[in-house]
Amino acid sequence: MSHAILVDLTECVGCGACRDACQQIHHFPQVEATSLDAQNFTTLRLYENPESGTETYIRQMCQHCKEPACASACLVGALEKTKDGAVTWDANKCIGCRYCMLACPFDIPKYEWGSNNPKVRKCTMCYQERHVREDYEVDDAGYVIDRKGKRVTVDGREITAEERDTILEMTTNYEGNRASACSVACPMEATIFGERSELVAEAQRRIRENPDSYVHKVYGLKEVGGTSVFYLSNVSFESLGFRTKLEETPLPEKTWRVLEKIPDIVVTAGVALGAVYWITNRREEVRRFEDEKKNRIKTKS
Amino acid sequence: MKNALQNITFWKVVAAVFLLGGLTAAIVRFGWGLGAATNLSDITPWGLWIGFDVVTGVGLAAGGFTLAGIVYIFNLKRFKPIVRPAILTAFMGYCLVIVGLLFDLGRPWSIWHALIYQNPHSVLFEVAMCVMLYTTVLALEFSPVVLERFRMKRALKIVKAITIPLIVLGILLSMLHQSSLGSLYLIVPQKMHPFWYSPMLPVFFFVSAVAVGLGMTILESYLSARAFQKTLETPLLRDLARIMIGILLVYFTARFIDLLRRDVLHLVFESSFETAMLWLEVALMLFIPLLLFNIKNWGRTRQGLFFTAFSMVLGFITNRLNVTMTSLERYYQQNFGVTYFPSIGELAVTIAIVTAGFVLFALAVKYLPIFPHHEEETVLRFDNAAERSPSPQISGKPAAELQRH
Amino acid sequence: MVALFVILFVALLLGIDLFIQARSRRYPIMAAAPRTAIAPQARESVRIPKSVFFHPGHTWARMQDGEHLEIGVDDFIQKALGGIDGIELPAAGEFVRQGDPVITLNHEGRKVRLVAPVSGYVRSVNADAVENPGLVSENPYREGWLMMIEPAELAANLSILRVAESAVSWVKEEIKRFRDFLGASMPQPAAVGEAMFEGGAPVAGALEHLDETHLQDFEQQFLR
Repeated sequence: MSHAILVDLTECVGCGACRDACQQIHHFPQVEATSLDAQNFTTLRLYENPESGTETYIRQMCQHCKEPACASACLVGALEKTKDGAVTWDANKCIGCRYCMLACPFDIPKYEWGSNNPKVRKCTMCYQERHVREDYEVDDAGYVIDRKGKRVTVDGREITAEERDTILEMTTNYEGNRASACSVACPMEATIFGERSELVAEAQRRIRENPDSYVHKVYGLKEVGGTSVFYLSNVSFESLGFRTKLEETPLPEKTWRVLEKIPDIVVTAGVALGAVYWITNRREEVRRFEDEKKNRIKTKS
Repeated sequence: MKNALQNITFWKVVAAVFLLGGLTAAIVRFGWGLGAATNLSDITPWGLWIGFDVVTGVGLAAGGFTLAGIVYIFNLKRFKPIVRPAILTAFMGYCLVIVGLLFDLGRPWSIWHALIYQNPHSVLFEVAMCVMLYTTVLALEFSPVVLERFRMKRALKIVKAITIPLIVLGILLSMLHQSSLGSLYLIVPQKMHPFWYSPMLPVFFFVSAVAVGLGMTILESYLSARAFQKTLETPLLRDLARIMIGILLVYFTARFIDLLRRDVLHLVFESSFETAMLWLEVALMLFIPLLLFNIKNWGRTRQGLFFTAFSMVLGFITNRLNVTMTSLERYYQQNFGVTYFPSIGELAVTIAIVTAGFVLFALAVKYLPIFPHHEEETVLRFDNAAERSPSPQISGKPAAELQRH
Repeated sequence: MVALFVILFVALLLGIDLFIQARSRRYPIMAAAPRTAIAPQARESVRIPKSVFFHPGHTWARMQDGEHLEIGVDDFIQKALGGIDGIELPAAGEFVRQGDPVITLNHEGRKVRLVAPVSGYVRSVNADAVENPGLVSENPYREGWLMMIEPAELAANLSILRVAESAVSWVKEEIKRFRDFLGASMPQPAAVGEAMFEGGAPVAGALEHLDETHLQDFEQQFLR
């Protein structure tokens, strides 16, 4: 089961509930940020159409690519595309090279620049939060433990029973399904959390049923080989500042095409170097021999 | 005392100032974090430290494998006297690259994670492994110098026995990571200017690294001649320059064809900052060296060769910084309105690392048997055969200079 | 911007360095001490490096990379000639025998022929020195090397070569012998001039003043 998020910008009224919920569940300060940083995993930005004068709120967050450039770039594999659909980051592995930040075609991963033990931060689709279960017990010290008796950590923090309940509340939608905090908080049908293939169908259905209210594109369906966050809009994605020039080939393929040749290169170059070494040394031997022969003839005459 | 004072030259004072500046910046960096010490940001995660200290630095240290290959694999024995200084500078270069990397990593203490959490799909993982292994290989290749100094005969014998396999391994590792530094940027096709983003980046990086390895060897030889009168014969250096220019001609032909095939050749006459930087790169790396090298008489003097190599090395630095920074500037400017320029702290650290390179090189040339020995000699008066105090120089330059005046 | 800045910064440092160098050359006091200290003597000195093997015919050989010998002419003959404007050498691949005259030095229309210090195959010749004989005058033992030889009978050859202290005392003798030779063979001391030729003491370029017969004598007595 691979999850995804559908963001329908035409439904968004800019209330900011998604942003607030995101900040709350991650214990970030409540600010009305317009650009992503280490304490803002999702933002809302207002776009006023210069022609029609209509307003569109642009929600930005991690695209959770199917084949993420960040995960392929990470040398220690700290970033990972989980089966769940979320792209997560492991604090225990990261060495802080920030190649993921460079590699991301959407410029999503952010860094804790002020810290001496900095973390790479980005939306995790509430991966850990969604996996906190109702039936987890509390140990003597008051911390929540999983069924094996291990303390449950969310974002590096052990949680209390109270926090567990808050998380449960924030990540369970009206249908009783676990979902990202932003989608649970959304009062409209602007942010929907669900199964990827179902959401693709839903997005296409909306365009088909209301062809005049949408540009006929599901953003995120094909970009860099497909993502797990989709956008619908009534304004062209380019004017909203979305990266629209992305190829459909997953970016990791560009580097893998080179990396996969390494064994061949090593073998070929190794043999070639050996051959050159043998030839140059042999040539010297031959030359020495020829010279000696010439000399013998010379001395005879 | 008077002698000691005389020894303090202008550059020694400058070096001390640079090193102190770097130390100050290091305290800020490790005391208060990357944000306090650098102009890096969420928009521009990689700056001068990666672009210069690491990507350019590894390239500048390519002389080690280039010369080892020329001498041991291609069997051009006359270059043998240059192998040691080249391997030494390569080794020091890689050590300094690692120092630079430790400054840049957000969590430098966990650098060893690359060994245990391996991601074979990451170019950076490959670079990390190769750099780590190659630094070890360089240490082994260089170890005879130290072993000789301390007369450790058994260890010396073992190292000498595995010389050729070591050299081959070193060349393979170098091929891999020199090219992979280019591959690092293959993952951001949409961010880079088309002048520098090419699927051929790894090949370009490798070929230019071979050329700059030769250029750096010429520079180092000139520097050591100036400071310590220890040097190599000019004809040898000229041969190196000749090979270097040959490689550069191949390199730029390939780049020209690449621009042509990717259909961006028309951009080279557009008036833009990127175009200017591309031409600067070509001029410094190809045109000027070609011109200087072919100046009659002067081009074959040590000084002429120095300027030829110097220009090429500058051009190489321009190329690496163009790939790592210039090519991304337009993207950052257009999408975020941000232009990165390194902070004083970043500059101070980079300058200090380069200074450390010069200082280490000087110390090594002075105290380790790297260049052919400064020969002791007796000087007799030509008119009455009386002995004179020996000349401190091995080159007869003063005599020539006197004749000119 | 960063690339441009870095390049300009490095260029600035190079500029400062060139400026300092130029200044120290203009005001000799600023120059490194040894350079000016030895310069006035160099022209009138004969250098004998410790690691060079001398043939009695004023050529030298030095072990190079364990299998080749570098050979050239020594400082004595170079000073005696006073200059070299042409060098003739055997081609690479030829075999030369110790004691065979194979090197020809020209100076102002005069020729002297010098012998090979060891026997062996010529592996390479210093084309730069042939093209620019000034290299030999600058340093006959380094840039001014002439040929790379792969020795054929090194052990036997070595017996007549001199090195270190033995070379120094031999060159001392040679200088004295050269003084006596000049005293005996100078055509007209007055013609040469007193300042140039104080009491028959050798000066650089002394050979320029010898006639053809005496030059041949010199070759026979000193260069074989």
